[in-house]
Amino acid sequence: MQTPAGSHIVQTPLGPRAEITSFWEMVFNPSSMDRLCHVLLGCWLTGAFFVISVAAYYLLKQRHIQIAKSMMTIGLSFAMLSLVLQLISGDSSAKVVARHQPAKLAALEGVYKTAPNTPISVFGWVDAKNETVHSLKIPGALSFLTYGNAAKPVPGLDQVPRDEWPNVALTFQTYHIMVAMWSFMFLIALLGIYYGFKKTLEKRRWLLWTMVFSVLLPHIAQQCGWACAEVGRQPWIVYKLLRTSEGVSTSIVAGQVIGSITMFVVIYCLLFALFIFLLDRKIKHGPDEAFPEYDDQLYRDITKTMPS
Amino acid sequence: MIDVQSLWYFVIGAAMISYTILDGFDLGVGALHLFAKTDEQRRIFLNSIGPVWDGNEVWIVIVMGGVFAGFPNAYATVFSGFYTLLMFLIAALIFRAVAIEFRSKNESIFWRKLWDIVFSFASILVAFVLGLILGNMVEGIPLDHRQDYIGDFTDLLGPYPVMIGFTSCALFAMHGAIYLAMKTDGQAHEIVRKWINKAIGVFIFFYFVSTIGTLKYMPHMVERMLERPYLFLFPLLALAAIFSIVYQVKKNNSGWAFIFSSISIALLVILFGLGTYPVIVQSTINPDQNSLTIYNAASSEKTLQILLLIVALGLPLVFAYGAWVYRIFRGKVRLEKSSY
Repeated sequence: MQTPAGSHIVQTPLGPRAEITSFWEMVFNPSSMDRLCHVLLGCWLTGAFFVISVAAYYLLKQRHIQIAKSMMTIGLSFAMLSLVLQLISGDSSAKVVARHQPAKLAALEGVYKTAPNTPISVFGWVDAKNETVHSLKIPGALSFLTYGNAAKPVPGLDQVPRDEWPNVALTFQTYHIMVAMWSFMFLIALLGIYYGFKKTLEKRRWLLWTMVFSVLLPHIAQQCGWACAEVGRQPWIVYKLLRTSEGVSTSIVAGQVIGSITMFVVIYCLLFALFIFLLDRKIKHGPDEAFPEYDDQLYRDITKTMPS
Repeated sequence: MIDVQSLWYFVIGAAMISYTILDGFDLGVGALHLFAKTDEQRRIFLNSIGPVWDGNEVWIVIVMGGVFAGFPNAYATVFSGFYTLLMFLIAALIFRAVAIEFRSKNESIFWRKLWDIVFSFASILVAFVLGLILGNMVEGIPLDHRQDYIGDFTDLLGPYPVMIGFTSCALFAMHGAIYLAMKTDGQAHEIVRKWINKAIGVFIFFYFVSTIGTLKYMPHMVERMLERPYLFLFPLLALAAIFSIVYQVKKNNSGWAFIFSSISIALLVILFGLGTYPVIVQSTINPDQNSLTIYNAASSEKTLQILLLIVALGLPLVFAYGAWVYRIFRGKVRLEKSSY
């Protein structure tokens, strides 16, 4: 859909249709492996920060201390590994976008006019009416990351026909939120590892509380990353082959689609609330004490008698 | 020499049979759930399907995926045409899954009763909608010259499809009751034994009504058999299998009863195939031109060949892990701390 390959268009009595020419070209199309790695690493991060969050909660509440400490060590090292790999994967994904979907890359960074030393925005907002971006920029960074040459211009939206532009503001913001989430996660993991080595992590309650809520960061990153990938490829449903507006079924009406979206929103909000309720109970209940040597009361008594 | 389109049709048919046999019993257990009165019985029944129901549902994903990949035109027409109906199906499948997982996670009586009701009604709805869809595919739906559906939601609720919907609920309830008899002992087993006879009675009633309905109003379903009378062996076998269920239940052989109940289901799906092949979706308007067949709805032959290869490699794996799960959880249900 994003980088179609391994197929060709055949005319049939009911109109043109795509038929397969090579199975492996289709499976290993230019973006499939980068996307797969990017998504899997996102899942690793979700898992790692979930573990970190629960461990931080137990450390704050002085419960299941031994288990919490192991969880924290595993969670932080796994998070750091995934974060570094995700940086490499993100760079690689962006280069694929630059090669195959230049209009999307231009929208991700809000590049309206092609110019040398194309910058990266750290954060900002898009003024779609005047086709400019007000932001904190790093000059030449996008050119450098794309081509390894800070001077070479990255093609802007001015090189794309106006009716093939995605929604720039939405693509730009979702992409930047995703990157910002990565930065926050990296900062938390870095601080966690630093204080962990200094053995003072348990005293940094502000950091532990941040960790408790850091479970949200990978989720936000994933939703925003998905949104920018899909909004950024508009108006195409199959890139450069089929427009989304032409892919709509003729036998359903708008009311049915609105109805089903409403249904899914209601169901998932309900399920999310139930999920949080049950998960919260499970976390508060904690692991069953399988090992008597991990007796928390005993541990607390010992630590109380020790000089701090 | 048989063509690839037919081969793929048989693969989907085989997956369809697996689905109706496997998910059939856990939907049936769901449909009967509220007839169990105590929390312990409900938990025993729930745990009889607990480890396997989600694996069973994989088969409908294979069926739908198989139609999507092999007969995309039929997929496009059916999934857009049955849009609202399928949304009900999806909602029911979601709530059913959640009910099974969440029900026993909280002690509160209100919580458990609520999820019991959700579980049971969602199971019945899934069985009914599946029957409704099958009934519509037998009866035919209005398709235009581009083979797009031109009716609306209420056109799908005709008397014949609704009858097939009831029949599939009754069939699954009977199948589920027999499964429960096989998986339980003691008091729970005694209760299930009482259900089975009623469930068989209800199913046989609906079976005869829908058979008469098919013979009278859907003459195209028996055309092939009239051309080749030896095919009448299949409905006779189906009848024999159904009466074998009654016999085995009377002898209290729930294992054999379950096998015959599975055979009956397989034969009913085969009868559907014998009646409709090579048509996938019958059109009520200009049927010869507008109907979707395995030839005008198929992907390219290359795609079908690749699909057959994938199935040849993948299906043994699915069978293997399925068989393994059933082996691990064989025998009568026992409630433990980690049970549903």
